[in-house]
Parts: sequence; structure tokens; C-alpha cells
Amino acid sequence: MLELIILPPIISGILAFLLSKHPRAAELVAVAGASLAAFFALFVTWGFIQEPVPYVESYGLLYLDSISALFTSLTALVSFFVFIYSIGYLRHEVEEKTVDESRLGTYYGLLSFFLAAMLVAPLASNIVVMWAAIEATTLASVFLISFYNTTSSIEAAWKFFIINSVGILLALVGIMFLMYAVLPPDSASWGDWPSLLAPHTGVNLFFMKIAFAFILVGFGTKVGLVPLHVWLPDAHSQAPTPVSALLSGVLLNIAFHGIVRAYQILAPYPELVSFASSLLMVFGMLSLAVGALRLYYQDNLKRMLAYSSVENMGIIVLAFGLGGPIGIFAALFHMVSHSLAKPLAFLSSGVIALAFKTKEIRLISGAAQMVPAVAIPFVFIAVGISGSPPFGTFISEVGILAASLSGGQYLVALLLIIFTTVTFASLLYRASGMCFGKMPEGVEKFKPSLLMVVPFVALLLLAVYFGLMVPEPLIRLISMVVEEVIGG
Amino acid sequence: MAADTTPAFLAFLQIIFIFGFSPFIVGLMRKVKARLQGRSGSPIIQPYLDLAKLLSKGESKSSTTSFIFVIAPIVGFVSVAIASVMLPILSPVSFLAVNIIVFAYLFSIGRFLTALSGLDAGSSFGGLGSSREMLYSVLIEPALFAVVLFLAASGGFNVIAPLASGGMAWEALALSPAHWIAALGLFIIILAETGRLPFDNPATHLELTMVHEAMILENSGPGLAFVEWAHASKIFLLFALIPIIFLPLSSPDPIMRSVFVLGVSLLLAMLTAVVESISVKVRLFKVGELLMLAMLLALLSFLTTLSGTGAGGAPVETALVFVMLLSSLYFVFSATFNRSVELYMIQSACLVIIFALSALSEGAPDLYFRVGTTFILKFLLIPVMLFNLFRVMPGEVKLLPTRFYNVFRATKEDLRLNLDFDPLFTGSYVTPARILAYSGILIVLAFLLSSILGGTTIMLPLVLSLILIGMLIIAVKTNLLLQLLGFLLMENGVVLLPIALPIQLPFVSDAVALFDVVILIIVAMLLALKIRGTVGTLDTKELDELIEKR
Repeated sequence: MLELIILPPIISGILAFLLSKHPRAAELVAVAGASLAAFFALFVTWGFIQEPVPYVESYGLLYLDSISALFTSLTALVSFFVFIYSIGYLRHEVEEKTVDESRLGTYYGLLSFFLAAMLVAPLASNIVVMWAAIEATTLASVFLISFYNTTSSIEAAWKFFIINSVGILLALVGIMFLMYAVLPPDSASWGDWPSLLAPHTGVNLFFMKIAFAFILVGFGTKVGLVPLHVWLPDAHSQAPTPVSALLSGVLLNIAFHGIVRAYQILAPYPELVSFASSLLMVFGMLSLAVGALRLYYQDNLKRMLAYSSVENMGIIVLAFGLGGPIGIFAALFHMVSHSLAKPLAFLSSGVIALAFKTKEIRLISGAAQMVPAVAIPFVFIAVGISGSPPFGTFISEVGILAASLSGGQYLVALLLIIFTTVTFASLLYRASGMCFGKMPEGVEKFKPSLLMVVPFVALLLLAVYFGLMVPEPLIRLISMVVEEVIGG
Repeated sequence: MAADTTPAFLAFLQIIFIFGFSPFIVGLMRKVKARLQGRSGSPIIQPYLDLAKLLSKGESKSSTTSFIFVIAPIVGFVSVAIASVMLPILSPVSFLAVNIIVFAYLFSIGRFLTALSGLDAGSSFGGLGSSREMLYSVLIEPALFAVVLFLAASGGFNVIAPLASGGMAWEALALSPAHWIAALGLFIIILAETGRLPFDNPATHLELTMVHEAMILENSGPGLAFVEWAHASKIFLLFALIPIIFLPLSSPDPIMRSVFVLGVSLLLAMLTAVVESISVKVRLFKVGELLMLAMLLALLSFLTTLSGTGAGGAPVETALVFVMLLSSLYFVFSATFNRSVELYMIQSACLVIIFALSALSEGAPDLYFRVGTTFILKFLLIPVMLFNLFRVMPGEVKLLPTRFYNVFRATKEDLRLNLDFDPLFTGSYVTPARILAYSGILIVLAFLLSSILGGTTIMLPLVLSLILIGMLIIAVKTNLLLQLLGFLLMENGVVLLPIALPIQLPFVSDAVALFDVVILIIVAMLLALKIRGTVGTLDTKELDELIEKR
């Protein structure tokens, strides 16, 4: 069953490349692949929640446990909405002559491969295949980032490529150290999860510490932790909006998944857990601080959202570092909420940018008059990504605050409050500045296509539902993950 | 000579031996250089005739000179004479057992006074030579101390004792890669200290290009004779240092020892002559880089010896990893793309041999698979793709197949890096000397980390150094393709990690990782082509200028 999640995007990717001459067909095929992936992912996850037994499949290559279930279903679900939006967005770009229609096949092919790689990573049965999948996501997204073929986008793509590749290679060094430290000397194991997680005697703790440090720095580069985040604002702002949504909303999670797995392996050893927690908290605080402070000074709408991603991933990592069941639960819940809210932010800002034909914040105002269905929610979403109701980020940030206070980390709590307030204020100011007020001179009427508005509204409703109602299966799934990570 | 000859007599004999044969060594160097230049050159004994001539002539001194000008040649001569009894040439134990710092600084006394005498004569050329010579001595010192560190780690600090006193047999020394690297570093330092090319041209007659010669322009007659003789003996002594430290004989027979030392020194003299003939005199700014390289080599041997398994473990594999490390360091200097790819091919060749050796010793089939894939991908496929990158028509993605003899040549126009505005930088953000300094720090870090981790072979710190230096190259190079090559160097290190640790990575995960890397190279090359086609440059400095204001 698990291969049914991965195969549709791969096949649709190949088909999309072959169908370059027929862009409509390519669009259809890509969306079909994403929908099938989402359907099967949710189906499998639902089945898993009912019967939480981890299992291995597909000649031992694919594996499902609670962590896999959470990440896979989240990825597939969000991607589904973004793919549909993508059709509308790119059709507008073709109309505006920004993109040539013949390139749509390449675009959808790369997008599908990107999705496939992102789905393989959490479903991989061993650590090396997971690593290779994360590497593959970098390779698949390089040409998506450079899609517009401008100097900035190509430079952003190169920076993305080289920095992330170096990071992932460092993560491989860490993985090898980990395998050396944990596995018995003569085992020819692949580093599959059961053998890595099995209790071991005589583990060299220092090796494990160094291994975790390498993995954190390596995958942390891809998560966008400060000071390794330098590629992120450029890459996320230069890519086409649907790609930015996936990069910010989904890819960062997948990279974080690598760190979660490493943490899971460390969890039985208290000394290592405290070491890992300190590292995670340091990186988390740095990212939170830098993201929050730089956010206000951005002129470009998408760069502002990119820095918000840095900030949010900092919060997630910080919460993970705080540890304990509350901290990790809050971290994962924040991750889920952020993955729903951030793509919403990008989707709406994409519509606004198309309407005003610019991405500069100061040139946009009165969006509520032009595209009310998108702009008015945009204000709420903008503050939602900094942690306000009706989005789930509010609940998770309160949870993180609770975890830090109960853990005695008063400084962390204080800084968290300060920086989230700063972010909240900056985003509210910018978003309302863009949405309300008079429209600038000489802006043409713009009607966004339904293909953009419908997925946006659907995702919005889903996000609000998750944030206000917090459905019970979700809570159950996340609790299972917490148990899995901390180790029963 | 019988073994009961008194040491004092032997010491005196040693001085005569050194001073007697040193003009011969200088003459031989000149002869070999002349032959290599197609001339017949002056006879080998010409330096003796020159000395005789100078001693018989009168001296003319500038009127501004003081007593310094008089005593400098004498003190220089005497200090070299004292130094010459410090080496255990005629006897296994040196007559004047002091440590190597005293040995090195005896030469400095002579140099100091000669520099002063160059200023003393009141001519500007003298001052020019003196300041340059002192600059060289400052630059040489750190490198020299790195070698001293290495000797200390090998147990030979207090006395200039042969490394054999550390308990190592001849054969182990000959096979130990760490010692060869130290010998190489020491050779570069000797070239600098004795003022040979590529640091200083002893045969130049153009005053503005002189370093050592300019100081002694005003000397004449017997003064000049002493200076030249002392210089020649210094050369002989420094050459003799190499066989004494690295190829020690344990026999006490003076004749056999002296013949051996003389023989190796003559060989080194010929080697120096060859090196001089193929080198150009480097710019003053680059002298530091070369000496920095020597220092790194000595530092590397020091760290290797310190971690205790310098000659142990698998010598061939260790030697190959050293070669890989050296090629990574040399990458810093490479100014053309072709040269960089050739360095990568050297590394890949070493990698293939290492894998082949481990496959032969273990015999597992997946190891042979690894050897095959590494050879095909890293030695053939990737270099061919890189060399032919710019034969691709802009806009098309087809890679044209080429005939074999075209494989190693690509359009010079396309691949020349733009060095016009930064000839010192060889395509990097910082000077090569500084890059080498950072590399030294990274190497120390790698050894530190490995020593804390403990329990592993000598390969681990070397492999970690490879990885870290690869990262450094990515960070400092401005050309995108050189950054890509830096990434490939880093990846070579990571691929060696399973051997260094050692863990078993089953071949499927090996193949997955390798396959991933190949796709990565292709993606990188396509992106580079796209950048080149769209923007017209591959240099990140120019890219930065071209980017629209954000």
C-alpha cells in the first residue's frame, strides 16, 4: 500500500515531461498524481491511527510508523492544494508572458518529482535511503527555483544548491558516525530503524554527540536554522509562488524529519538528550531572533514570508529542544499548523502579487478592493503565521510557553514572548498596509481564476478547522509520535 | 680511521670535510643547471678556483663601512664552522650535542651580520637585499618551527638525533608517508633558507632581482671568499640534514657515514638543480604562500606522528590519503579549470586504488562493485563531463560525444578564469596564503576531534581534513565550477569515511549515494550552463554585481 503513495507522483512526473507539447494534459497528470498520493497517504494514516502498529513493506524499502504517518500525510495533503493552485497561477503567468507555455511540462514534471522525493523521505525504511531522498528533494527543486531564468533566481538557485548539498553531505558524515556508534561492529545493516532503535550496550556517547551535532548542522542547513539560513530568503522569494509554498510549508518539515529521527535514536540516553536539547535550543533561539528581527525590514513580500519561515522553524526547533512530552507535542503541533498556514500565506500573497504586478510591499495597497476573497483572509493569515487564533499556531505557541515555564527556562519564555510579539506587530502592520487603504494609480482590474481561489479557500477552511476544533485523530497521531520519539 | 681516534680530532676532521666538499656541491649544482640549459658550463671545480682567486686578491671597501663590514664575513664563517660539528656526520653521536634551534640560529647570526654589512656599505642595493633577506627569514621561521615540532614529536628535539633513535627501523621510515611529507616540507624550507630558485636566483646579475646577492655586492677579496665559502658550507650542512634525520645510518664507521652523507647531498644538489631549472622565481608576495605550504606539510607530519600511528596501520592507504590531501591543498593554487579537474582525477585514482586494496584484502563482492563504480564514475565519466562542459551548444542539453584525444582538451577561451583584476587571488576571495592558513587550522581541528573520539586509525583525521578542506574551498572560491569541484573533493572525503571508521555500508546504500552524487553533478553542470548562458559569467563576484537590487 505504501508504494501507492510514492508511485503516482513519480509516474505523473515522467508523463508530465513527456507531455511538454500538451500543457493542459501535463497539468491534469500532475494534479492526478498529487491527488492519488494525498488520498493514499490519508487512507494509510487513518488506518494507522486505528491500529498503530509500525510495519515494513515493499521489499523492505518502505516503512510506516507514527512519525512517517504524520509527515507523509501532512506533505501530501498540503501539496494537493498547492498543485491545484499552481495550475491557475501558472496559467496567469503564461497570459502575462512571464513564462512560456512550452515550459509547463518541465515545471509539472519537476514539481511531481519534488513531491515524490518529499514523500519517500519519511517513508524510507533505513536512514541512508532517507538521506538520499532528502538529497533528491534538493536536486528536484533547483530548477524550480531558477524557473523564471532571471539573474536573481539563478543565483538563488545556485546558492540553494551548493549550501544545501554541503549541508546534506555533512549530515551524511553524521549518519555514518551514528551508525558506527550505535551498530555492532560486524553488522552489515543498512541502518534501518528497528536495528538503530534497538537497545544497545557499550555505545560510545561522545561519538553519538558528534554524530548528532553533524546531523543537526547538516539537516539544519536545509531547515533554515540560523546561521545556515543564508540561502532561504533568496530561494523562497525567487521561486514561483506555488513552489515557495511547498518549500516553506513542506520541505522544511521534511528536513526537520531527519533531525527528529536522529533525536529519536538518542532519546534513551539522558546525557545525550540534554546535549541535544542545548544545541536545539541555541539554534532555535537564534533562528527565532534573526527571523523576527529581519522580518520588518524586508521590501519584498515573499522575502518577508521567508523570514517568517525561519522564525517558525526556530520556534519548532526550540520547542523540540525544551523537550519533554509537552515541548515535543507543541513542536509537532506548531509544525502542522505552520504547514497549513504558511502555504496559505504564500498562496494569497501570490494572488495579490499577480493582481498588482509587483512583489514590493510599499507598492501594494488596497488589495481588499481588488481581490477581497483573498486579501482579507491574508491579514488574518499573516498574523496567524506569527501565532494568533484562529490558527493552530496560537495553541502551539502557548504550549511552548507552558513547556518553557514549567521547565524553568524563564529567559527562553521571555524571549519567545518578545520575538513573537515583534513578528506579530510587523506582519500585522505590513499586511494591513497592503490590504486596506486606497489602491495605487493605474492598476488594472484583476480577476483571479477559480483554480487559485478554490484551493485557497479550501485550505483556509481546513486550517481554521484544525486550529479551532483540533480534531481528535490529529491529537492522537501527534501523541503517538511524541511517545515514539521519547521512547515509551 | 680506527675507532679510538679522539673525538676532538674527528670534529676537526668534520669541519674540514664540510668546508672541503661544499664548493664541490655548489659546482655540481651549477654544472647540472648549465647542462639542463644546453650549455657546457664551467667545470665542477670552478668554485675552488674562484675561492683561491678571491683569497689572493686585495680588498676594496667603501669609505662608509665600519667594523661590522670587517667582522661579518669572519663571524659568518666561524658560525657555520661551529654548526658543522653539531651534526652527527662522521660519528653516530654529534660532537656538540645541542638542539636544532641552536643549529638553525647559528646561521641566523651570520645572516644578521651580513644584512647589517649590506647596509653598512651605504649603497641602496645593499639595503634592498638586506630587507628582503630579513623578510625571507621571518617567513621561514614558522615553517622551520613546524619542522622542529615534527622532530620533537618523533623524539629528536634536544639533540639533532636521527629519527632512528625513536626506535624505528630503516624500512619503516622509508615507508612512512608522514616522514616523506616532512622531508618534502624541509626541502622547501632548505630551498628558501639557502636562497635558491624559486625563492631567489643565485645566478642573477640584475641587482633589482637580487635578494641574497645584493647584500654582498660590496664585499670583495678575502671577505667575499669567506662569505661565499660559508654560504656553500651552509648549503652542504642543510642538505646533510636530510639524510641524517630521515635516512640514518647506525654504523659508527666514519668513512662509510661520510660517503653516505656526501652521496645523498650530491643527489639533493642535483635535485635542487633540476628544481631550479624548472621553476620561475616567485613574486615576493607568493613566497609566503610557498612557505605556508611547507609549514602545512610539516604540521601534517607532526600531527600524524603525534597521534602515534605515523608509520603503523596501512601505509599504502595512508600514503594515498596523504596524496589526496596534498592535491586538495594544491587546489588552492590552481588557477585554471583544467588543472583543477586534473587534480580531481588524481584524487579519484587514489580512491580507486584504496578501494581496490580493501576489496583485495576482504574479498567481498560488493567491494569490487564499489571499485568498478568509482572508477567508471569518478575517474572517467565525471572528468569527461567536466572537461567537455563548454562544448555543449548554449541552450541545448545534448553532450556531444568526443573522440578520445579530444577528451582532455576544452576550449581555452571558455575555461580561462578571469584573473585580470586579481592576479594574487587565483580565483578566490582571499589570498592563497590565507586559505592555506585556514586549512592548517582545519587540519588541527580534524586531528583534535579524532583524538577525542579515539580508538580509530590514522585515516580518520586525514579523511576529516579532506572533508573540511573541501568545505573551505567551496567557501573561498569565486568561480561556480571551482565551487562544484570543491564539493566533489569534500564528497571524496565522505566516501572514505566508511573505511576510516570502519563501518560496513552495504553496497546498495553505496550505490544509492553514488547515484545521487552523479545526478547532483549533472544538475550542477546544467545549472552552470544555464547561468553562463543567461548571465554570461560564472564568477560569483560578477554575479553579485549583476543582481538587481532587492
